[in-house]
Amino acid sequence: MDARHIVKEPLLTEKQTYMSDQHNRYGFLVAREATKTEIKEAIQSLYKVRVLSVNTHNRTSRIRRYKYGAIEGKTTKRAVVRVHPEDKIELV
Amino acid sequence: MSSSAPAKNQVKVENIGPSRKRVTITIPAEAVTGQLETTMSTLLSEAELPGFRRGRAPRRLIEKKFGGAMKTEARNQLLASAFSEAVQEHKLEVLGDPDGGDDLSKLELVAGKPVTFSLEVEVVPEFKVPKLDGIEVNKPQISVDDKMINDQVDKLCLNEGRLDPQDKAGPGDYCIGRGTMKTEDGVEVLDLDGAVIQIPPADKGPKGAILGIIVDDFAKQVGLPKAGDSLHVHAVGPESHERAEVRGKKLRIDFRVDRVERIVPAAVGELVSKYRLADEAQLRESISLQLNRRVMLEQQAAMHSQIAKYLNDHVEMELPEGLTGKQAERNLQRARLDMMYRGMDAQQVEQRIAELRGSSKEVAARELKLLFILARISQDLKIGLTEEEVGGRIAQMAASRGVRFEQMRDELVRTNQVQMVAQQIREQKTLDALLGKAVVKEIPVEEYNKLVDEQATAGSGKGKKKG
Repeated sequence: MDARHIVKEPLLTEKQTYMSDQHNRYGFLVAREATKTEIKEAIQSLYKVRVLSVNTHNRTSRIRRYKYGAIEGKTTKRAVVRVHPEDKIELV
Repeated sequence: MSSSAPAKNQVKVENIGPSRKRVTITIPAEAVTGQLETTMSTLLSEAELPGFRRGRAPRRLIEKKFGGAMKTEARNQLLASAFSEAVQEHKLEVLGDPDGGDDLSKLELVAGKPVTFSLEVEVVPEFKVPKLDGIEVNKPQISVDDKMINDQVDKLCLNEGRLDPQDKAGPGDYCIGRGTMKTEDGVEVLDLDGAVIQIPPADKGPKGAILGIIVDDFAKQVGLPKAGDSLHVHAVGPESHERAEVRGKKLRIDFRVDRVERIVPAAVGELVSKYRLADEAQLRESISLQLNRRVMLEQQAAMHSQIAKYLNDHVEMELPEGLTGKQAERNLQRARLDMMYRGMDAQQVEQRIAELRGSSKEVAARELKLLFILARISQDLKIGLTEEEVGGRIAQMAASRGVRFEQMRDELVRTNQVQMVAQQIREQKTLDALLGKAVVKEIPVEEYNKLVDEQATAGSGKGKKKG
């Protein structure tokens, strides 16, 4: 799978900004079928940094009930990668 | 931010024409950086982005998202404040909006670099106020006689008369229909359904108005049409028309006559019962009161115009070129308000406005000159204005037109003329103040008219004949 299909977009939130500034850990929205190894290689090739570790989690969607029926959202996968202290990713 | 005193803008003011100045302002680098910082910090503390609490989004993200808009905002604020500071510092009395050309919108603020920009402004001309005490003024003695009352009764009978449909128009009849005005290039300027024209009455000469344009040989061009006829009128647009595309152009006005109507005057008895009066004597008395008020206003207007002429003749000034055209437009509006105040009916007002459109720009220039002189004098004499005075004037205008106060006020607000009413009152108060200091001589109306005629032939002035 192409690196651009694995890493969909960076997560730009207050928490992720804090994590990247303080702990050199960056969050991304990734393809659901991507493995940690694929994610590591994709990040390394896209941002030219050394990835030390990858943590992933699946965000299962909740079923929301409205007056016109139940709606199930999309399940997504997020990855948080720890980067070598000498490397930086400029997301903005 | 540094705690030292802020650096001052460098301002250079040059004369580039009559009452026109170029203001060149250099804003120091510290002020530019300070302004960018202030705008940025405001944005940082107020911006709300998804994923961030208010005021917590990182600076670089804000810069990326709103950088362009922020710089434009900072530039506009900085330029506006620098310009108003320069105006205050150099005591410039600016007229209208400053002209910065295209360069101003391309100007970009860079932190740590000074900014220089130029603006061209029109300013109030410099002049010396003449001696204001003891201006000699002639007051025409006009008294309301039976003839005037009879004429007014006839007019009221006509106003309250009924419309009688006709097959063919005669002199003085009204034609109602659709009028379209086109320039010689075929560009349509106006298309009005429900337009009204009056076939010139036999005793009033061949002149007439159609869609607000006076046509000298109107009677000859329209003839005596029937309902269903199509009329084609050729005219030339007056030089001072509000719409630029009409000025000085050859015009073709097509008018389709939908119906022809003649006014059959009401009987005096009908007027008496309509106005709920006891008898004809009471009607004549109330008309006499109205006419006396009108005469008083006419006398006042005549004396005001003499003071205005004195001021115009005794003040030398160079007028800003661009303003004369705009003034011509404002003159028409002022004239309309003035006539409404004096109680002329709507049709007479529009007829007179159509005539005034043809007057030269010279009149506009004279009016503009007078405007500046009166503004300065009202400032010197500390003439103020209260809300009650404006309300009172609107109430008078409403009473003269026979409409409700709220209706009149709403119409003035809608057409943006309230400011002009205020200005008119201030000018009249100034003229009244000057009249209080003037030496007034009462003369018979015939002598007054003779004087006005002599002045008109000498080409020196403005003045209105009194009847």
